Amino acid sequence: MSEKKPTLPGNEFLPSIVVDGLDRVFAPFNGPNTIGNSPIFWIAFLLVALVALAYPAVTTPFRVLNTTGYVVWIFLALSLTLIWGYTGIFSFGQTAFFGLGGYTFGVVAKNLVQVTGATNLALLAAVVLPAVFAVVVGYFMFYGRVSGVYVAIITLAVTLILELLFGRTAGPQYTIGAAELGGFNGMTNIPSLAFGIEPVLVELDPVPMYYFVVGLLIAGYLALRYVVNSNYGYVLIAVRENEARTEMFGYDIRKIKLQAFAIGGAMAGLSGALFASWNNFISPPVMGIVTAALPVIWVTVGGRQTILGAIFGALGLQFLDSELAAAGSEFSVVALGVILLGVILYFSDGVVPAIASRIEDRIGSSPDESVVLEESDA
Amino acid sequence: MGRDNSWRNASDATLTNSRRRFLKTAAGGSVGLSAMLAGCSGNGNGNGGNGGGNGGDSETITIGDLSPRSGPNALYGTPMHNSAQLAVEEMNENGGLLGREVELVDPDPQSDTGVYQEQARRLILEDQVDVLMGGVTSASREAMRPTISENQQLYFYPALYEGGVCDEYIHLTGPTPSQQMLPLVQYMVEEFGTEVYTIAADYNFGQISARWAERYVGNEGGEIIGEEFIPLDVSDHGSTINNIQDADPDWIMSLIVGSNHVPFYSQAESSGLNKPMASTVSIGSAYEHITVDPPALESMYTAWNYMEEIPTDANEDFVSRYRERFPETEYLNQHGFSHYVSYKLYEMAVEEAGTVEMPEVNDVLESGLSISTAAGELSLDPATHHLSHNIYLAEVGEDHSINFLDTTENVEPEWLRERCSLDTESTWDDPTSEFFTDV
Amino acid sequence: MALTNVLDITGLMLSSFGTLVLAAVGLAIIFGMMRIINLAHGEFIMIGAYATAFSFSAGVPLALAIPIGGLVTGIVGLVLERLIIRHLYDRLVDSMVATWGISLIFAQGMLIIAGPSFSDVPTPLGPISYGDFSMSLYRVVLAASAIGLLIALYGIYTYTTYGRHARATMQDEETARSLGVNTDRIYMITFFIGSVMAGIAGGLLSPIVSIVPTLGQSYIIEAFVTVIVAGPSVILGTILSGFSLSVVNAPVSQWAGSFAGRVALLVAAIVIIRLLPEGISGYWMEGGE
Repeated sequence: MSEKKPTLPGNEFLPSIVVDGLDRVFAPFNGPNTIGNSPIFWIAFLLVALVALAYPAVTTPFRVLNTTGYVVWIFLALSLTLIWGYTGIFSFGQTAFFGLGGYTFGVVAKNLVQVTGATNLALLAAVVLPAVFAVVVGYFMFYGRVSGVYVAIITLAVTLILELLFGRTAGPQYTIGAAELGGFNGMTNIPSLAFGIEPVLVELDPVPMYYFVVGLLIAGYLALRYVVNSNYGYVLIAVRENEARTEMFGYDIRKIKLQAFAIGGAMAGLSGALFASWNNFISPPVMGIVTAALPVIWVTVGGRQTILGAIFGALGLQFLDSELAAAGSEFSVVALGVILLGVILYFSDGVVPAIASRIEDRIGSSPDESVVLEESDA
Repeated sequence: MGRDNSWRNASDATLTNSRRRFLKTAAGGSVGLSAMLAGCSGNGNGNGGNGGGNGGDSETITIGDLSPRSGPNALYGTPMHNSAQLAVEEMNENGGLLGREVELVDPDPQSDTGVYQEQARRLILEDQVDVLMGGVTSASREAMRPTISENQQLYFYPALYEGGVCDEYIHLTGPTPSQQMLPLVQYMVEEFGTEVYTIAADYNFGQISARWAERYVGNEGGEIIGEEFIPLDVSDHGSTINNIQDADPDWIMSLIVGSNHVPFYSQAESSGLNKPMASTVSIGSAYEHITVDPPALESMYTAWNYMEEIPTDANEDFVSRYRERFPETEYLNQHGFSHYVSYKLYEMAVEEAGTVEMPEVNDVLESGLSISTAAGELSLDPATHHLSHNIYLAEVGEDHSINFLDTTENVEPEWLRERCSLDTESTWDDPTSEFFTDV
Repeated sequence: MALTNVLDITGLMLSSFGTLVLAAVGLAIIFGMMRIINLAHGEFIMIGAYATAFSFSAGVPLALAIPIGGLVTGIVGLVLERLIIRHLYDRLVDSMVATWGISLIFAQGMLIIAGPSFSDVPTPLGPISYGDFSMSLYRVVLAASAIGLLIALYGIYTYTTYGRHARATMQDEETARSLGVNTDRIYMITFFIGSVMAGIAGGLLSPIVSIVPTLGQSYIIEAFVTVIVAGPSVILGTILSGFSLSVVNAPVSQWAGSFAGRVALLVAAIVIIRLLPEGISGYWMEGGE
């Protein structure tokens, strides 16, 4: 392969056959736009994946169920990383697509499950509809040259309007087929994920559901790495860094932003659909301002311009939130605020990049770092 | 008691779905680990103590309580949390339940449905509580309901709500508008006239309560001449006040909720709108007569199952115990009272059942329990799992003092009984779970 | 009848305009001049309202309690600026997350200190009548105070040394510094003024809201929408933005209810930004230059 493989130092600890093998297998996912390109990183990646697979065997049902919930929300954070961290579109309303995905899943699944017993199509619809909606909103914004913080306000307004509208749907008159929207109280008894067609049905109980979302996360992580390290990824980053310059190179930045925004909408919709099926419930506050701020906070704390930042930011802060709530102290919320402040003041680019650069410093402090890089370039 | 206990003989496996079975068996299998993890994760509830226990076999009885102490519902959740502590302390002072110590596990759901769900899962699966208590809004209850029914968890909901829950696992100790409305509307129509303007919070509770108002006003020969629904985050009520002035009703039915709606009263007063008002929402839960400056609530009429001012000896005793324990209390509201009643009902049922096994406790609860409370003698309806209430009709004075006009005793949850019969059609392992939204 | 309807809607518009501008003005200064997105802005309003309500319940007349609310909030803002905000200049998004943290701390802190509710401030001045109808005179006062605050700001930023230095810093920080302007001090004072404005807004709004720890949350959205729709010019933009949004919000609320008014406000914001991608004053300033 002629693709560039800038490997990080540290390879001298490993047998060269392992280094070569890992380099070759993961080459499509390596590049300067992501953190962690060394064989050591990929070994760590495989280890973490193994731990994730073994997790249900060593923990409690509550933890499995809860961790599934955390992972479900990660897709929302990832959607924001793609469009904001990599493309520079500051959306404050990804929850609009999340909520739409969740409600779409609920409506379609409740109707479909009576016919086929499965929810395959519901999941598909819950990805497609938000993506289409994102195209509409995105077209409205980008082809009107709206950018920067103005995008944040439009997307925020969109999610708040959806929250208001769905909150209004109380009563039997707001029923779509077998699905009552339920107003502010929310839609209940949403079916869990089930694949196949009667009589061959695979219903995703807690543990299979956990494996499903974790598998999806690993696939999504690799796919995102592939995209941002491809030529297309470079264009996205070019748009983020300087729109005018990118446009002068002949790119239609409106179209590029629209594409990224649509993919982001689809991912947020997927997140919402997984949430609704995992939770068997969805209600309008998932589109409110408090939830809308969550992905922004996760991604900023984790590190906006890295995929791992979104993952660990979302995972870490949700865990923290839950444990603090369980502690039940009136100071829990205060503690969360203090922690957020501390992280922002101490890590200016987010936690994950800070840790990564510290690890790099530790491993790669040898003077021949540049040599290694040049060699692998050759 | 005296229930058909055939669920014990029936084959569990055919009735429970596979997901539930997974949770139950898996929960049994890894309890030790569970306790270990809970300890590691800094879970500060002191549940290390009951970590070795499981279900009903442990020494201590654990009660999971979800009363929000932060966020917008802290106003209701704080009195609930106080009541929970008071009730548990009193149980333990009297030697515990069945001679066993009672432990309160009380995470803060922060007025957020997501946190409610997560903490409910934690209480049910991880802490394996013997009973779950709490929740304020219907949204919070509905959010927890899938987890509650999936894990067959006995649960008490204390708040005033729109009515309609019919669920084998849930007991509801707060009032519903269908119980409060009748004496109130009768009095208002007789005293002030037949033309009514309804203002209500723009979500399920307000919308359904408004339907009740319409029905009762119609029954009394009155008419709703105007109706307006106000979103929960609107705090400027100028347009509503204009519209009411335009319509010029005889009196106003106020079904507004939450801190953004409370300023309606002072805004109406300063706009010169002086109509008599009736409410099944104000006063008894958010104690507007104390937080709003007089005389904005003058000539407000209200009907509640409980108010702190109820002038009975039993209530004086309850209030003094409560205030001695929590001297900084602003007001002891319906939520605080009904939550306390939930605990007392549970205590009674466990003592009578002689066990904390949930199906057996539920059987006792479904046997037509009566309980004497600060608000008189109440009974738990076996068919609907709702309490009958004594409804106190009261008038707010110019200085915002409460003047009781009348008491209607033993108002039963009749509307729901027409379609909900948990006592005959539902068992612990073959439960009914519905939520009727049409009035 | 027609006349009273017009008066009704005028009254609503005045109050809607007054609320939007008051909620936005402190945020507009801090965002417009410092590029700090202060998500704790609602809590600044809340602190102003609490300080006012507290002073009022201690016997201070309302006219004096409101400036006290402003001053208390200003001091809180000043302390925050020194401890935290000054580390966040040029870090727009970080400032958002940090101030979100601050807002959590303030709202919950107030709940811990003062409990879930506090006795309300009565609405002063009573009603004014027209025909069979009447409205609160205080609504007129709110709108007038909103304009008064903006005029005061205009004075500060046009005629004082600080104001000229502040505008210079806003346009080109490095040049301003090389010409001897202490930009660090300018930022500090700007944040103080923004906080005072938020506090005064809280004080002015305190008679028409419930004094609860979460009261700031009901203003943060309106404040943001108003500020962003306003565009780059703080004072002119805020007036125009408040005016345009209330012109939409008031009649729709009157005719179709508060829910429709709320949706209309958000839709109006979306449409205005779409048509004028730099905000209302961005369009004007382009025309002027």
